[in-house]
Amino acid sequence: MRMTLQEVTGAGPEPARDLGVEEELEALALARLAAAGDLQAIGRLLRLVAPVVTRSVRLVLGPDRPDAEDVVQQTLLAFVQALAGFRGDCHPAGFASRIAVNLSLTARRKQRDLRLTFFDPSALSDRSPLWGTEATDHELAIYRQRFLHDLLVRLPVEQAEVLSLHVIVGHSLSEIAAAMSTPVGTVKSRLRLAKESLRRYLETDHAFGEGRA
Amino acid sequence: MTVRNEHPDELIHRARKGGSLSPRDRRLVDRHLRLCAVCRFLELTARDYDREGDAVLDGIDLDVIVARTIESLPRPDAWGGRGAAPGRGGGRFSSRAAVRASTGFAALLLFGGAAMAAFVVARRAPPPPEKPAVALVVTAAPPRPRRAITRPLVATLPNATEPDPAGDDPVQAPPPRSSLASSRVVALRSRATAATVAAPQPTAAELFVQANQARRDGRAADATARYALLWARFPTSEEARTSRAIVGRWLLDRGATGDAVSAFHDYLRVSSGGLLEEEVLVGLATALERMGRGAQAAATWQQLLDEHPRTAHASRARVHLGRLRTAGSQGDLRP
Repeated sequence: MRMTLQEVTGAGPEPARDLGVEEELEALALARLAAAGDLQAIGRLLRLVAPVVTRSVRLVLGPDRPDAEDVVQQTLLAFVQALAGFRGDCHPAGFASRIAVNLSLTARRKQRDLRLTFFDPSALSDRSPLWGTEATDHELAIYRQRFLHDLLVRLPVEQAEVLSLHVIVGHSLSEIAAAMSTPVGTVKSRLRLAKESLRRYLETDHAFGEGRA
Repeated sequence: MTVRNEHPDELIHRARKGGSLSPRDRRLVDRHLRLCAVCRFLELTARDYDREGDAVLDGIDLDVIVARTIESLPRPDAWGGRGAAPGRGGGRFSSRAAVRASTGFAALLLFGGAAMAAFVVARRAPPPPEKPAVALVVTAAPPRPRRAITRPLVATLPNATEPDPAGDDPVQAPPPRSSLASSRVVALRSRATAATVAAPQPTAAELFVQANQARRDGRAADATARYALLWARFPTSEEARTSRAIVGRWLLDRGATGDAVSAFHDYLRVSSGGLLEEEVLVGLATALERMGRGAQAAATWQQLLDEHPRTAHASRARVHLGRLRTAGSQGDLRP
């Protein structure tokens, strides 16, 4: 018999509780049951986190990647296996999205061997849409995403992870810190370093010229 | 600290998520985004991603993936769980364990049988011929030193080739003859030793990096020589193919449009459908246009649109195509 939310979390009945909090507590309860090997809970938890995982994988991998489904499944497997060490500092979906980003970055780094190992940064700027001034907003968006993807595979893993979770997945710094079980200060520091690297790349590309500070 | 270094990340994130900002915070964010290209770029990119919303889930059947994941879960004790709850997953894991155990037993039988068969065959086979004397000399030669720079992964791709090292290997040059005189053995030994201490030839990756560096440093002659060496020594390597695209763009920027066209054509010839094809087609069309070869330029822009409909250069291609066709209808287009 499945335990109720109150039994698992030890919290009293609070009908007026904020829906987001309640949903998170429910998910945490599921995570604890799943960590204990309850297959039904594992199934429910996977269905709960699967959209977030898929979104993260698809966005970090980029469009038209045939291995997206494989990475999603790898993520879900790794998520279940990591549940025993999950401390419940954040929503399980946040924890899963961190794994998703990590595995997607690994997959992208493999792709980098094909495309970017031999494409040096100065050549990257050759692909600027400023080749023409007729680019539409949509095309500029494609270009920005490509640019970010190219940067991600060049950054140290920790910085790439924070940058992906913040910019691509849309987590706040405190959410990232909770998902990574890391102090917020460390997350801020990694993001700052990633931005410094990005600045160096942007300075070789005139598409996003710097204003005066 | 300047505006460039003080990134108000939390405030920018709150604004991105539609949260409220005080007028003071709003001014701070606006000013920072105006002055910091990095945050401006990231903020624009983040909004691009937000706009994609749930559309990225299209085409993926989540239920199937979840079911497949549950199906492929290992035993709970393998991932640190505290065991399946009684009466729920226990039977499932037990049956999996039984399948695993029977598979292991079958594998053991298979390998055991194979080993026994190999033993019997080896006993019946004739003894191998003795190695000639020269082979003993060769194996006594010092081992080749490891190269200082590790080859990149791509060098192991099947289409990345390099000169056959056996071709220059002195130990394989003469056919082994047991009647070799001792002076000949000594000569062979010295040749082998000399070959191992000689400076290693640069790999394709090293040549590529050196050529790119020379190009960036403005050492055009040096860069050209190294690219030429790369193409001559490793004509089918990934580095050689990619460098044709880079050189084409480089030449185009330097105004050598004819040479740029040649380099772009070379790339398309050896890397049709390659990863840089979009960029190469744009470069080729631009070069052809600058040379006044309007009809060929129009055909190239059209090829870009046909083969890469989602290219980031689509608008530009359409504008140029329209302009070229207008010129063509007025009889200004040179073939």
